[in-house]
Amino acid sequence: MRGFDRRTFLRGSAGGLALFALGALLPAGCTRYPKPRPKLRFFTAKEYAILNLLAARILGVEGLERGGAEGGVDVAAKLDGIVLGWDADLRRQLRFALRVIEHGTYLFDLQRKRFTKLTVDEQDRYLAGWAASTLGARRVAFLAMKALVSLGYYADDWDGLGYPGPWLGRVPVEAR
Amino acid sequence: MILDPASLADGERLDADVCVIGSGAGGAVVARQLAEKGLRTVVLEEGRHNPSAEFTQREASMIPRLYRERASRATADLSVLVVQGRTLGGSTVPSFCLAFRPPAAILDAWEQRLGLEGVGSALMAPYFEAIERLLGVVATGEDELNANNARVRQGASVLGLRGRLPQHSRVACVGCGYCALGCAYDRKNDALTVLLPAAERAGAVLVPQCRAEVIEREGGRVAGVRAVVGGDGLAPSVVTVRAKTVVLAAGAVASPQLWLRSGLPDPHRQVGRHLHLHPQVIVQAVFDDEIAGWQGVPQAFVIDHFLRAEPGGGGFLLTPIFAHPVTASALTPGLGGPHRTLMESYARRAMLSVALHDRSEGRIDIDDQGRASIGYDLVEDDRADLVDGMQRASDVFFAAGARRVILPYTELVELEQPREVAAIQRGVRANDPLLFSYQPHGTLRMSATSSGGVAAGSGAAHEVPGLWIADASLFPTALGVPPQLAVMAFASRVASRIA
Repeated sequence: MRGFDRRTFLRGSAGGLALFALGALLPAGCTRYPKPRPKLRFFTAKEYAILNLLAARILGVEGLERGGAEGGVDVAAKLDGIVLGWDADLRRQLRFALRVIEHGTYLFDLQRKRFTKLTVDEQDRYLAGWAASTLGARRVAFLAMKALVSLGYYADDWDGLGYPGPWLGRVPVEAR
Repeated sequence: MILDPASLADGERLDADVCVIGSGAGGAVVARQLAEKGLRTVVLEEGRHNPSAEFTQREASMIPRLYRERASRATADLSVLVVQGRTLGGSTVPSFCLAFRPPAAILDAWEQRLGLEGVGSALMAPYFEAIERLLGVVATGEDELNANNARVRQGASVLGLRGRLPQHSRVACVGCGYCALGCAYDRKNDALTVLLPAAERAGAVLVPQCRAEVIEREGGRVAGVRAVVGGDGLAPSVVTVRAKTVVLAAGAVASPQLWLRSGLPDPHRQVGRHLHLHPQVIVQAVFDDEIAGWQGVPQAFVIDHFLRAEPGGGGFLLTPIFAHPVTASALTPGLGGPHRTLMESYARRAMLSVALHDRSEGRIDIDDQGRASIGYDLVEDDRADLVDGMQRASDVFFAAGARRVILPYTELVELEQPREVAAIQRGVRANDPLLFSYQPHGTLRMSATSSGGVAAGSGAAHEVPGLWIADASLFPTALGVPPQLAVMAFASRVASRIA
């Protein structure tokens, strides 16, 4: 998979439609999300917090949930610029998906807390439920989120991978 | 010349002898050939002109520039990601340059069983030879096998599986490994570097950022194309190309989409049907020593032992492949600590794709806004081949000394020894594993009669005088091998029938 952008992201199946509809019913403007440090052009403070937490939990990289604090990578801030280039329909679907993930805890896990308020173990179990769901659309939504946070993190950060990065500017090549 | 799309005014009209829709493997061949015969040729390409000097070797910037919908278009049920190029030069630009001729048995069956005169392997051979000469097709060199390919070859050898070094169209490859993000060093002979420049020199006009909207007819015969120029910050403007000959070469999804959107006749409801995808999954393995699969020629060895090279389909190709970090992370199963641990083994990871010679047939439809919908379901025999392919790929890796094999499911499923069959045979459910397709074909297929297909063996549309098909849509059955060379050879044959 190369990135995340499918037009039919959540709406391509009956299960996806159900998720999409659920997203429309869930609360859009919960308060008590920390104010992001960077100036965002697309994401709200809530979406910023959800995305960075998803990055940390899915990619297993310590500290991503704190955004760019302590000099770390701010996945949500990077994606904020990328998502601006998407068409409006896709951006709207992304918003719905983030909302479903944040508040789907009540439905899928019978939790009384939203995703960002769960303990780390609960968050991991909750996301593992998305990855293993018998509902195909939930698994695809999980894959799409994984692709998205992978783009936000691994596009420029290769620490620990042994990958040296592009040749351009690093390896001289004679013109053909 | 490559026309600056911004120079086209709203309502502008271009006059041509031939309008070619699409600039990829099929369209570029046709454009070159017809322009060199002196026909006024206009080529419409939906994607941008992305010259190699602008290739960055970075996924975040190149994927949106080179791939349709950022490489994330999927079938209607989200089970197969259908990846196609969208740039001047089409899918040839981010391709791995594999140059396979289709199995002779398949071409011969098209001629003998389907009655398509002249498409058998003997009569097609000169077209293949000419394209291979033009693109400088050569066999992969022994010195071009990177560790990923070498391990797969080693595993095949231990197991006694038939494999070979495939032909490709690179020249003086530097081995940077960024083929799928476009070659920044112009070492690929493709539509962008060879065919379109030749068409330009012969007088063809190339129009990037120009999406064909409707094929227009007058008195039942093709009269031209109405298109919209725009995108990437450019305000849309409508242009018309007047031409008595139109060549549809937009690929196996966009070509039937345009046919349907244009309301062209389809009395036998053949348009969009018989879609083949060559769906594939990627099995990964972790070795003790470094693989560094990102460097060198990504696909330099192929195991064709399990491919049923006959028109009924069946079987699969096993081909090494590799992905840069963003894609690799997205492909890595599981989440959290285990995902990160696997990413930390990135330098020791090998990848092997299992590409089905699919019997399954899907179809392209359009919605009320003219957008394409791709319907496709794997039939039981293909599902069985998929499981078998994953098993065989695992066997190859273990025979080559892999420490662990990672299956392409959403959840992390690892094998630590050969023949852990149960883990693989737990079954293939919807969207799991996620399948990829880089090779859709067969949606405007050739047929001796209009009741069985859309185009005659010449590529001429049965029901629309003046309209020709010259892309992967033409193929009446699945090919079993990467179709790029076949698209080019058939496009050349179509061009020779036009003029």
